[in-house]
Amino acid sequence: MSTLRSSSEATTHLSVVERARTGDAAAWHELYDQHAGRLLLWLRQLPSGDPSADHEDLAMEAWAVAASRIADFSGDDEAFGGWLFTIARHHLLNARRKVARRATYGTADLPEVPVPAETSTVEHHDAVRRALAALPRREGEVIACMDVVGLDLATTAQVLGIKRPAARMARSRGLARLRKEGWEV
Amino acid sequence: MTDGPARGRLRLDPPSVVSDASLAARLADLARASKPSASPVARRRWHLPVAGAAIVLATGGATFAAGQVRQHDEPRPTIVPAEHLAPTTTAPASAAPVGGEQKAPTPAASAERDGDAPRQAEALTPPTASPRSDEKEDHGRSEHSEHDETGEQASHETSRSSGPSGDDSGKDSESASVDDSDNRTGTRDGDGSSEGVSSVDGQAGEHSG
Repeated sequence: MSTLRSSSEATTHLSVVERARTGDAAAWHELYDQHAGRLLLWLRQLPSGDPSADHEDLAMEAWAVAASRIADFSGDDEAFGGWLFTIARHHLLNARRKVARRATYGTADLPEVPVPAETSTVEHHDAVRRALAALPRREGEVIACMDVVGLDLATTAQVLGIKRPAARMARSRGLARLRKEGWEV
Repeated sequence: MTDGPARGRLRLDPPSVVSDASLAARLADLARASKPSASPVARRRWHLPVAGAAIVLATGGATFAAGQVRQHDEPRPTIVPAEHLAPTTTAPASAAPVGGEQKAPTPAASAERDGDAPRQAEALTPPTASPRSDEKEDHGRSEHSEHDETGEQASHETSRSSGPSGDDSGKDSESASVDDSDNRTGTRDGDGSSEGVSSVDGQAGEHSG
């Protein structure tokens, strides 16, 4: 760890992404601390189509792809989050297509799952996930980015591959639907 | 939907992610091994030859198509042979009955009216009704073809005369030589042969015309 600190001190004049591009482990540590939590939260809110899908695996695949393709990334620190979320979204869409091709429907009775201790938090997350899944796909994605995770409009438009007015319009429509459902937005 | 407390707000707190030094080291190794997949300049290199080939092909195709259209639109000069211009049922001027009847337009007159050469008009004249002088004039022109025809006739006559009697070769050669000399000089007697010569002459004249 001390070696990481020393190397990061030697390259403080560079941005985090530039240091990460050169292979600095401390820079990757910093990037991971900034974006890993939001990325995992965002992936959990998006429907993957497979109840057994592990969002942490998708997040780790996104990180590995980002590290192996960092030479192609030419943005700054602020743009790195959008680029990472875009990679994760592509992985999620691939997983969704894979599930659609190999769709299986269980007929046996599932075993009882014990309720965890943090029931209220889990219920709230599950309610948010179901509310976003009930929205049109574009509106749910925009609200998951901007209102659930906290990305800005530009990053959301970049992640979803749409224009900013389209993202703004989808957000306003989705929020109007959620207000009708009783959500305080 | 769920109860009221669960609908309070959309904003969720991100889960606590434990940072791992080994994970950061692995990501750093991946980043160190990362190479640009393809530079934009290298990616753009193949555009030039492909675009050039497409332009060359398009220009060549357009030029070829324009040439084809121009060639199709331009009228070609029609060359009609003389024998195709000869009327089949036209009476000759010399064989027409002299009287108050109006003469039919002869091919020679039509040829003169159209501005054709006099030789072509002669060629259009039917050979059976041509006078003797015309026959002599045409004789020199179609000597070769006449020789062939009369030669065949002479060989037939020779074989006919020598076949049943079984004469020796001297007579055959003599008769053949006489026939040949007649053919060369044109002094062979006999109306039938002369008519044959004139007819052949006429045909040859048509062909030569």
